[in-house]
Amino acid sequence: MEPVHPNAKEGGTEDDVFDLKVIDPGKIDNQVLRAALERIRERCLPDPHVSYYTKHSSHSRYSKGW
Amino acid sequence: MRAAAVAWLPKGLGRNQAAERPFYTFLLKVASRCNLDCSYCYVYRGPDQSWRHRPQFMSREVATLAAGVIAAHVVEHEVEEIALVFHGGEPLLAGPERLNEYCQIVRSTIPAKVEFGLQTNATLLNEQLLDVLANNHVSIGISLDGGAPENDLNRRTFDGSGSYDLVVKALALLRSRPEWSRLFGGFLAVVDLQNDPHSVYDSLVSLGIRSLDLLLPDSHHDAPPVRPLGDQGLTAYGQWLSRFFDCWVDGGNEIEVRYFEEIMALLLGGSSSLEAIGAKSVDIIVIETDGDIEAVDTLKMVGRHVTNLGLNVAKNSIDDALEHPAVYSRMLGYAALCDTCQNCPDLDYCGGGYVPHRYGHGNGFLNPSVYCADLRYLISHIRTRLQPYLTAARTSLPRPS
Repeated sequence: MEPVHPNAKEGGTEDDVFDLKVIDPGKIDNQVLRAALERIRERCLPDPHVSYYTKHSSHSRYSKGW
Repeated sequence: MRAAAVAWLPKGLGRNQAAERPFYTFLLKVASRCNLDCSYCYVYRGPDQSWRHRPQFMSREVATLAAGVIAAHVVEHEVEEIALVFHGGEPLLAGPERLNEYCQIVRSTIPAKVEFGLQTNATLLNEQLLDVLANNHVSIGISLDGGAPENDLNRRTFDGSGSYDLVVKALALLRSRPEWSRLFGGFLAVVDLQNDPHSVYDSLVSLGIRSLDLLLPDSHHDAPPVRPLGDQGLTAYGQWLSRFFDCWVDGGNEIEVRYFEEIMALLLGGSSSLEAIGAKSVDIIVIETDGDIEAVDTLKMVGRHVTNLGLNVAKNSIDDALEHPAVYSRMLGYAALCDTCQNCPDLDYCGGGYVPHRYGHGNGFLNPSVYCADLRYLISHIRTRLQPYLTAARTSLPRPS
């Protein structure tokens, strides 16, 4: 997969980059954010375009009934 | 005025520049009336009053035609799975027999896996309806703005009484059997600055939810949202949402708040699954009770001149909608946005915001969102709150091979 975070593409330093690929949710000591990041990673990685359609085919305020 | 007169996209751009793709989400307006009289409703309180002339319910004939054109679309584009959402008005007004029939027509006609959903105020839920929804695996989203004081501020019945107690009663019924309870997707809550975000959060969480989503009030530049006077008012919705974000992060309840998670995903280089955030192509299309095809039903907050595409399932295919600028402009991504948005450092995270919020009579949809300052405030807040957690959670950055 191509680098996806704009900072990575625009020459930001490695310290500036917070990319899903380099975040380990298990190291986050906030249970709400940890759970959220695990959901986000599950949805967006490894390939956001594939997972988007196969696992979450709808993407509106109405999807899955809401 | 017809939709073609509206500026949907910058001059010089056209359908051939759009990353054209099929629709995956089909919103079926199965009832054009509602049993509630919510003060902020974009349908009944908005400028597009076309609901008055539409059938109260989608007929079997229109449902069959709608399923037919959807079937042709999924075959043409080799779509394997779609989402089909029953919407209104209040879709439960259609009753159990019609809802069951719609599901049967869809299943027998469309050669793809269909995920059914239904967005409701829940006040009409009963055992018969729940059996039909459970038998057809229809997930349920419920509109609720908080506890009784917050919800009943805007979500009222026609006699002026609040709807909260009716919703809570329906929730109890929904949760009374496992086969019904598993249908519940989450709450959809509209932000009102008069409500305290802490109270809204606590009230919704106390109902035992797994997930919720937040909506900014339906507004645009010609009908801007109510704000406090002064500088603080310029970002009032952003501040409200940021306070709600803090309630969520610090509250210790592992519920999903979709609006925030989509922004977090975008900040981390992922994609958004919401049409209101991010500039990705949109894959939703709306079919009204009379078979009219519309781009986004919330455009009703702008007026009939932007909702009327002149298309109907009786004479048009779903692909015909792809030829309308109201539709293909949403498949242009960043290119469809105004210069201000395209030059904004937060473009990757808000994507220009929700389409209806960009409208103004002069430039059409070529404006930043009427919530632009709020979105930037919220994005900055989320970024600031996330940073220490992400710093601690960072692993090594993979190098290109």
